[in-house]
Amino acid sequence: MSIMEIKQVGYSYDNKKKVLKGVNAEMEQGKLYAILGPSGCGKTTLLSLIGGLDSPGSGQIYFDGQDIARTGLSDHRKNHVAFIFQAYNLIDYLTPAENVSLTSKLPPLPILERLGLTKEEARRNVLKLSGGQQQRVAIARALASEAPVILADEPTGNLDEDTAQDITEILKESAHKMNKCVVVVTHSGELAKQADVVFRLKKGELQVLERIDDPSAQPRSRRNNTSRSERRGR
Amino acid sequence: MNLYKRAYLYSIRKKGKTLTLLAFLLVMATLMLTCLSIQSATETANANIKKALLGYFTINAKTLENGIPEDTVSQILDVDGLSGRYTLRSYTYAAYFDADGNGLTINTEGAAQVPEGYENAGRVVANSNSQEDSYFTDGGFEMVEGSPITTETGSQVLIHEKFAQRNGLSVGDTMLLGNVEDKDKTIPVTVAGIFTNTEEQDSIGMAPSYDLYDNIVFTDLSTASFLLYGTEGTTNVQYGDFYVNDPDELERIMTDVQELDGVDWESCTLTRYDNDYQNAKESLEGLQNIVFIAIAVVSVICFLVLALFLTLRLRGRIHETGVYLAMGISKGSVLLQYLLEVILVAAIALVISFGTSTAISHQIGSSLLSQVTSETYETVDLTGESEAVEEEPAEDLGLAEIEVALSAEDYALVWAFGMVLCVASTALAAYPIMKMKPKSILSQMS
Repeated sequence: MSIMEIKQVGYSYDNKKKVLKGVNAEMEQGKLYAILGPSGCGKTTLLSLIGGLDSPGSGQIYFDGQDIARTGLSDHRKNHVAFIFQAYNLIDYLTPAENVSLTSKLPPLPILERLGLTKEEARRNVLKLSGGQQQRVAIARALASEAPVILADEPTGNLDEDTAQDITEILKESAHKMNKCVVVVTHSGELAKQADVVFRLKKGELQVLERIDDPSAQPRSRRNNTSRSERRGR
Repeated sequence: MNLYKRAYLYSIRKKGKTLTLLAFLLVMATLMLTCLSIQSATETANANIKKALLGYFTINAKTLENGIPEDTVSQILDVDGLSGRYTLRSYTYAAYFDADGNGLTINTEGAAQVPEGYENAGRVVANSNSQEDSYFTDGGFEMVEGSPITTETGSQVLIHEKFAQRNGLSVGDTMLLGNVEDKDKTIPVTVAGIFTNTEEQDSIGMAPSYDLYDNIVFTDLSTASFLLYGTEGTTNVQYGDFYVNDPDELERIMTDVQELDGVDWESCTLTRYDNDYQNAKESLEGLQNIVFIAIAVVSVICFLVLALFLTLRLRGRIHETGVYLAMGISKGSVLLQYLLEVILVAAIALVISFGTSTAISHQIGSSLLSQVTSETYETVDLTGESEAVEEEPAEDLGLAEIEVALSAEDYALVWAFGMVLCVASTALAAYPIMKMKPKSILSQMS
């Protein structure tokens, strides 16, 4: 059963340039979704709309069957979704442990250690950590929030190949082992290969790719087709 | 993590920013407290001057046939606003005789002339209390023997020690004072005391014999009334000085007095004496105005600079604001965190400012106040308008003891104002960020 449902969502900047035109999508828990597309096509905008950072010009976004515009965007951000940004966006005057505690009352050390940080690193200033470590802290913060949906905007964009692979694994595990619905906006073909479902956003329309192991493959309409994982689930 | 902890952690970990804000707020609070404490001190000085430089008015009834009667004095004293302190005075001339009616010898040496009929006469000064007469307060007269004359004593005189020596008189002796124009109209008086002059008379060679110091006699008001008006049993006087509680009310009180019945006020002269107070007040009001303007300017500048400072500070925290909003932390909570950070630092600044402003206001305030009060002293010294009334010496104005100290009220006022300023400045600085959508904030930070 889908936890997030996007229905006929449209969005334009300053009521002029339409970046999203009647986008439809359904997303389930336990799956990793990748959204591909050229720069400026509206990937991050779509992620912002799913995360309740902004309101769509038209259409609705549902969480667990409830229109998030009605239940409240702030409440949606607080209880249903967690963000992971390309620039990590950690609070620079807090330690990694304190950053994780921002969204959770649970002890932060277990989750940070699970993501590869030592106790010393967990108590260090976040700016003294490497980029990979900072992104792990950002992921830990998202996971600790216990939000069922994790929205990641280019999470591996600033990282080297090995670290990017590690982060991809963590996101995959978050979806498969922690039963999260992980939605990743990315340019990375490697990350997309690991996704259960790959969407391509082109000319304001969201399409599901035919083959998820080949992000450059020709897409087909989301409305008329199902992904491999969806077929696998039947 | 709640907003209180976030605010606390920001304040202790962003040391540079916190210290900058602390320094700014400390300067602001110190300036404000200094201005307020100086203002309080000037108010105290003003109140002290009111007490010290009592305003008064004088009734000159010299042209009235029978002077001011006792009843009128009683009515005047009932007028609202009078302090109850008053001095009655009369001046005349009398011929001096011994108990047997023989003329006493006066000093004529150094006299410009000895008018006919005044060969053994001198000036008679009557006062409610001889010690308060200007001859004693300003003219250098002092008692050498006996006791002063008051309203309690009747038919008594004080004579100069040279007059006493010249005529063989001593305390307790009796002499006669006679009307100069009607020498049969005499009144016996007892010598109650002997005085002398410590300063030389500066009108020697110009004054007639009856005005020489040696020939002056002080007596009680009823004796003078007999000599002037021929009254017996009642006392009429020529002059009355009536002191008021508040010099600012002098005008109103004088109007009330002029409305009293039974006196031909058209023939009386009422003169107000509050120049000392008005001049001193003017000096202090000048300082008060400066301090008031300083407080207003400091308040406005503090608000603007603090708002600008916080605007720049919050502009650097758009990133953080966006992250908090993305986490679902409400705008109100974020704003409250920023406000708490400022209030936390402001509270520390206000505590420290107690010490700094005490030290600074003591230095600056004392210097400013002493400058103003020295002007006041000069004003008082130079104003010689009240020739027969005791003047307050400058050192008794109560200004020398004024301390520019911080009062609890001023301190509480600055706390309240500081907190309002922090709330207003933070709200103003945060408004542009808070009205943005989370996505706009996040897109700005990226």
